[in-house]
Amino acid sequence: MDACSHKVDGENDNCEATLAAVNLNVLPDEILEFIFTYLPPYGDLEHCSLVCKRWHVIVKNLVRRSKLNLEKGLTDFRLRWEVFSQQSANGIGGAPLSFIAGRFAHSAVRQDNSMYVFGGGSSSDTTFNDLWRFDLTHMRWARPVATGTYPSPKGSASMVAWRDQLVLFGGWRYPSLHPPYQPWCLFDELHYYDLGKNRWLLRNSLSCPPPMAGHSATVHGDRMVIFGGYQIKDDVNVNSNDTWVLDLPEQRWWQPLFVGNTRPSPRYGQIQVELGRNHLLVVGGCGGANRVYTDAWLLDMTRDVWCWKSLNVRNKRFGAVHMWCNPGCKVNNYLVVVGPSPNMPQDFQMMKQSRVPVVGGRGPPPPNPLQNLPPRGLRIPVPDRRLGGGMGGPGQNRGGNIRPGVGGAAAALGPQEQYLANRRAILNQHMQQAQQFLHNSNVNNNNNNYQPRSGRLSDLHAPPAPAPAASPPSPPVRPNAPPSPADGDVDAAQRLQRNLALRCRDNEPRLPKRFDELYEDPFRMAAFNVPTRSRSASRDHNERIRRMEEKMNAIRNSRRSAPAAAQVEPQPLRAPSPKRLRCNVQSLFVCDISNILESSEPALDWVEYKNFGVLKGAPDRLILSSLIAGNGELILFGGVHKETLTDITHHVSNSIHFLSVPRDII
Amino acid sequence: MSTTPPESKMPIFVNLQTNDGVVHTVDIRLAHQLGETICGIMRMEEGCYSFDIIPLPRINGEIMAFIIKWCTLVQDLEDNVMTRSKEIFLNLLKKDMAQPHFLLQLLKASDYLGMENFTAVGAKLLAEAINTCRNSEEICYRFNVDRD
Repeated sequence: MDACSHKVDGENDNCEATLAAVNLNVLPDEILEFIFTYLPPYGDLEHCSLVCKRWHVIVKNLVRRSKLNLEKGLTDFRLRWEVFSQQSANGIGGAPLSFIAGRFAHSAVRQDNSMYVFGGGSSSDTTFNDLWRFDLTHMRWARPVATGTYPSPKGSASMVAWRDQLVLFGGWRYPSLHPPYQPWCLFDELHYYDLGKNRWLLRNSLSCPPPMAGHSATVHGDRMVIFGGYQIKDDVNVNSNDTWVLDLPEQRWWQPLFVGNTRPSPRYGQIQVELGRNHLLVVGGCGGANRVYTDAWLLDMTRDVWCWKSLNVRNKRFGAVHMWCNPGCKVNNYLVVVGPSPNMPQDFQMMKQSRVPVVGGRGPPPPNPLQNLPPRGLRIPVPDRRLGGGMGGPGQNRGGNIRPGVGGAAAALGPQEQYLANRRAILNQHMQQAQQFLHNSNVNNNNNNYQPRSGRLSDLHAPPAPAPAASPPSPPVRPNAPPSPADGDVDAAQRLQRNLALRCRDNEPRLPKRFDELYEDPFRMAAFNVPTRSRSASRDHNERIRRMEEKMNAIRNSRRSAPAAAQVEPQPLRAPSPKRLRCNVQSLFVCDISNILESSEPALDWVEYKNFGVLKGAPDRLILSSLIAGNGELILFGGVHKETLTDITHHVSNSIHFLSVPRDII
Repeated sequence: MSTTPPESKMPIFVNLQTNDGVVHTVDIRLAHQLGETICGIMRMEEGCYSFDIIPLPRINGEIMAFIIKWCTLVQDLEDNVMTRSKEIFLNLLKKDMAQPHFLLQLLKASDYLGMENFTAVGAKLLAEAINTCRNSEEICYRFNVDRD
């Protein structure tokens, strides 16, 4: 330090009133490191590390420490979200900079100090094919002027970074409107984007994977491995569990050989992370209607013949559920997934309650048209399974007959009626919301219209399957006859499969664009003739009901069919919160993947969350956003509000959220 | 120098002597803000007479005065908001027309004293200064760091 202080003295003699005369090396290491923590950890820090040896060492220490801090923050759930919204930033000179439009199901990748975003679905029924670069150093969006053969507009394509290129494959786009009812358009285009030359190159190779979307891809050395996806195979749209490998330098596809018969079930939307040069991990995914997976598979690529291995997932109750529409990424030894808060799982709220509040809220008083029916409680609380399956529970019945105990009217209740009643009860809360909405828009609307929704649902799901109500840890007791799948179920299953494949209302025979057909459905109960009503309002409502069906079926059928790999873990019972909006935020789920490669019994351990994984400043609940790892932080971008997917304009987001270790803001 | 009766355990004032011999008298409340070092010494000295002088050999009188000024202003802030402390810091710097190396010495002093807030504010200022440099050459030039 003597030399340095000598320098300082030297400065004193001819110092100017600017910092130019300052010699920062005067300061001790820890202070320098402290100063550097205030720098954005991207370009500026890199510059600092190039200044002199001492600074280089300090910066290296700092980077290592921030990585550790992030990991620690992940396990302790002591992190904080910060939002970056371009609208608030302006360019030099006050002119607004161009910024990216909101999107969902886009591809995002990080290369050097920038995040590259490609494509995705827009707020209207189109997809993008633009490439944007977000400079993390300056926190600015820029649009590289790219030449070459542009990819088609698409979403859910896989994009990875390799050397100084981006490799893009697959994707979907909305089908054209005429002729109507076309299936999804899937792509099998392979594009390379040269970052240095800003050029897109289309590559064709002889053997090419089928067109697909929703697959996942990672880079291992000089190979890109893709798995799964929603594909067109022999002219049929189907989920797949195939693996394809692209030799990146030679641009040649090949398929590996596998040993053994176990493979992950066909799926799309899964999270795939690289665990090393010869290992990759696949978690989650969706196998179509009623099949949302939470399992994990390890692909071992060390030998010539590859091998899948199913991993044990521990602490599933702390795990993320919908890992097909929610992004995940790897942070050193952890896999981080951002998803819906577990205590308020939105559409699942109905499923978890044993008591359904049946009051109609502030809307028009809900009538009881079901009094026309043979005496059954209109709003029967979902039977509390824990009570041994009896129809107990003092549900707040409003006008309906109070359901007597198990032995009482149970004899009079066929399984169908009970199922109906259950379903109706479950739907009630949802209807409250819809009621509110419709009350505001259609004052004249008779609430009779709401009841047919339940009628219609029973129509669809004719088999009187017991509603999967509150799911206790013990296997649910089903007092009803075991459900027998009928045509309605198959039809519904098909429909749901198409639905879940990213909004395919075009090829749904039952749901044409204007959802007219719904009104023409013959209802089982003649008492509910549906008078005409405003379309848009009911379309929303119908959509919500339909989504709810999907979710209910997902839970019910997955438990019923229960393939070995498809375990949708029943969520613990949570009391319904009066304020749904409060929990409409993203939650963090962290999973420990450090032991997978070392131990002989590899397993995935979900880390127990605190406060349900809701961290300060959490962003809104969106699906199909992208999550990438930054330096000591995680970057979440884009996404769409799920409920708006059926509206004319979807509510998409273009803001970036950074998840980082909190520090004092100065 | 103020004296207090020997019976009182808690001295009301604290005397700090910097390396240039100047003795600064600070209120006890303020002294607590002056960081861990002083607090530690005061804890050890509890029960002794208040007119004991706490030596601070590493700190200049000028710097001490600045720090005391800053603390006086900041301690009135309700909730220790960092942005305002930074502004206060900057204002004080401008008022004193401090030389640039003054900031460095301030940082060293606050590190010695163990004053977190102060160090944070100073570090942030320096970080912003570094941030304005576009590449490492500029940093070298501005801050007179030798490249090696």
